This record gives sequence, C-alpha cells and structure tokens, in this order.
Amino acid sequence: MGYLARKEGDYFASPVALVALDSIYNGAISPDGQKILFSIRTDTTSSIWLAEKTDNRWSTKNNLSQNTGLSGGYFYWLNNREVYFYVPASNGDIVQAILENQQLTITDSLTVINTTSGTEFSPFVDRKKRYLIFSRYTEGDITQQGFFISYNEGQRENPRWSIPQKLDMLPYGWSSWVSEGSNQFIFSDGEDIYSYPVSSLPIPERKTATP
Amino acid sequence: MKPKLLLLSDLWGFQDEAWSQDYIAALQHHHEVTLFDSPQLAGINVKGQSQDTIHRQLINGGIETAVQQLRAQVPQSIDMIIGCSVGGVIAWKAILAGLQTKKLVAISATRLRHETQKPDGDIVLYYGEQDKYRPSAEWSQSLQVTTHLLPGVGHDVYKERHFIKKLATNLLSFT
Repeated sequence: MGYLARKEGDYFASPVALVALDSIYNGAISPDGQKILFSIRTDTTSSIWLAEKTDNRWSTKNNLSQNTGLSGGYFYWLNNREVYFYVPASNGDIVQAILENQQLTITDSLTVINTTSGTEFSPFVDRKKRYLIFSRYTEGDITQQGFFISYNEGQRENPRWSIPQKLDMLPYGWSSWVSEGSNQFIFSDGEDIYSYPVSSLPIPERKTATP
Repeated sequence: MKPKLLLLSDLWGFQDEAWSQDYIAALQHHHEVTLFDSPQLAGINVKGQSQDTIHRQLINGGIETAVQQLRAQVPQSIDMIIGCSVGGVIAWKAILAGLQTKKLVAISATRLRHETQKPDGDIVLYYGEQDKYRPSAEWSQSLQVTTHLLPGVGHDVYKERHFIKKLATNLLSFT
C-alpha cells in the first residue's frame, strides 16, 4: 500500500493510504501534481501504471506495460513529460523516457552510467540537467555500492553524461532528492529518511551545462 | 546476562568467510553469539565442491539432517536466531520441529518459498530485490510473515557490512 503525506506549513501531515493505487510498490507524482507513475510488482516483473487526478482523486489507473512490454519503477519526473526510471535490463539500468498520450517511450539508454553487473536505479536529475544522481549496487564490490553522480558535460537538450563518481561520504541508500529550497540532499535507507547539506557534496556549480 | 543468539551460515559455511567476523563484531557487545556452520550440520564437506553439488546435497536430505543436528545441539531456549540463506531455512524448520526461540531473522532464505507452515514467534525475513528466487509477496501474505525487500541488492546481501551493521542496530531494539 502506498501512502501520501501532504505538507501543511513547515510540517508533513500524517500519511494517508492511497487505496486507489492498489498494491503500489513505488511511484512518483508529476511536478504539476496531476499524474502519478507507479509500479506494481508481481513475482516476475514490475508493471508500470499511470493514474491521473480528476476532482482531486486519482482516476482509473492505466497499465502502460501492456502495450509496450516495458517494466520498471523508481520513477523521477524531470518535468511533466520527461521521465527517468529503472528498467530490469542488465541487472537493472536507468533510462530516460518521454510520456505522451499515455505512452512511455524510451529516448536514451544512458549507456555511460549503466553497467551490466550492477543494479542502477532510483535516479534524480537536476532540473537544469547539470548532474544526475542515482543508486548503484554491485554484489560483492563495496566500491560500487552507494550513490553515484554523473555530470552533464554537454548541453541541456543534448546531454553528455560523465563517467559516474561514487559519493563516498554517503551510505548505501536510494530515493535521492535535492531540495532546491533548503539545499538539502535527501535519501532513504528503507528505514529512515536522511538529509545532508548540498554544500557537503561534490555538486560544483562550475559544472553547469551550456544552456 | 547477554541474550543468546545463534548465527547459521549459508551453504558454504563459515570457513574462509570474513563476513562471519563482521557479524561477530557487530553483535558480540550485546549478544552471546554462537556460530553454526550449515553444511557441517548437514554432514556435507564443501571443500572442492561446486555450489550446485552442495545445493543438491542440501535439498536431498542435507537440510533435514542439519535440522536434527541443530535440535540436538541446542536443547535450551534461545533468544534469537539469524539464518543466512539456507541457514534461515534450517532455522525455520528447526523451530517448527521444536527448537525454542523468541525471534528468527532469516536473510535471503529463498527456499522458504516452498514452506506452507510458519513457526511460532517473531519472524522477520529480508530479501534482496534482485534475488530472483525470493518468495512472492503472495507467499508472505498467506503466511502472514514480515518481509523486507531491500532495493537494488541481490542474494548475497547478508555478507555486506552495511547490511550487517544495520541489522545489528535493529536487533538492539528487540533485546
């Protein structure tokens, strides 16, 4: 079951169960608050679903996996159209996709950041696409477990992602998020939610991509 | 007196495995830890054998032998058991067979997917999200057992130091 906590003033209110979304495994709400992409796990796969908001309620959900055969989860909305998410290929990779007319189409396989042996998942992309942070887990290799950052050495509309560097100061976790307002890097380890000042992380402003 | 805790290994046992030392380091301050080598309990010599061969021996009677041996070697009540991979299965079956414990923590115990009966006591299961042999969500629901899915990770998560430290911290709240 998924839960949603609304922010009231400076605080989050008690979480409310999202009953309409069934047995949601993970999901993300679009920046305009009108759509939610989420995944439902079965034994063998994670199907991708989309629900839209109507009259302040999540409408009938649509199975986006049905037509495309795509499966995955850990969605991140860069804007109301462009999405990054996890697919199970090669032990788990991150891809970029466009959501249009209730159709999710992969537009970039992000080959520089994905590996065949490790699981890459749970991406966060800076709004200006200056950098991308994600989780990687390669079994038995501690140097390849944790959060990684890749910088855009190209342009916003034509990114050239650098070879990812491990953020050694952070423990293993997922659901990375940079809160621009409070300049905090937020993530979870499944039990707790952590917050680090962005200033303590190597997110150099000079790496800004050409607009 | 510290709570008594049993740690059961995976199918390779504890020989040449540095990860058992990580468990001891993480747990010994608050628990009296006793290690049980699963293949030894099962009467299997793992030296020079492939994983498949050991696995076959375990599922063809080895697990049952290990359960009997564990029951015989642990006649008293235990506060907690941690079972890694097949060690979790052996512990589960040993509790069903009468071994007394308040809590079982089984990590990557994928063969539990074949179990239809749950032992008494507090049971917590951990599985890597990428472990393709883990039991289904339906199985967990049907047996009403608390299952934690660990994002990104695979079967061998029980050997990882970050997981062991986290587990040890969690267990403190129980003891």
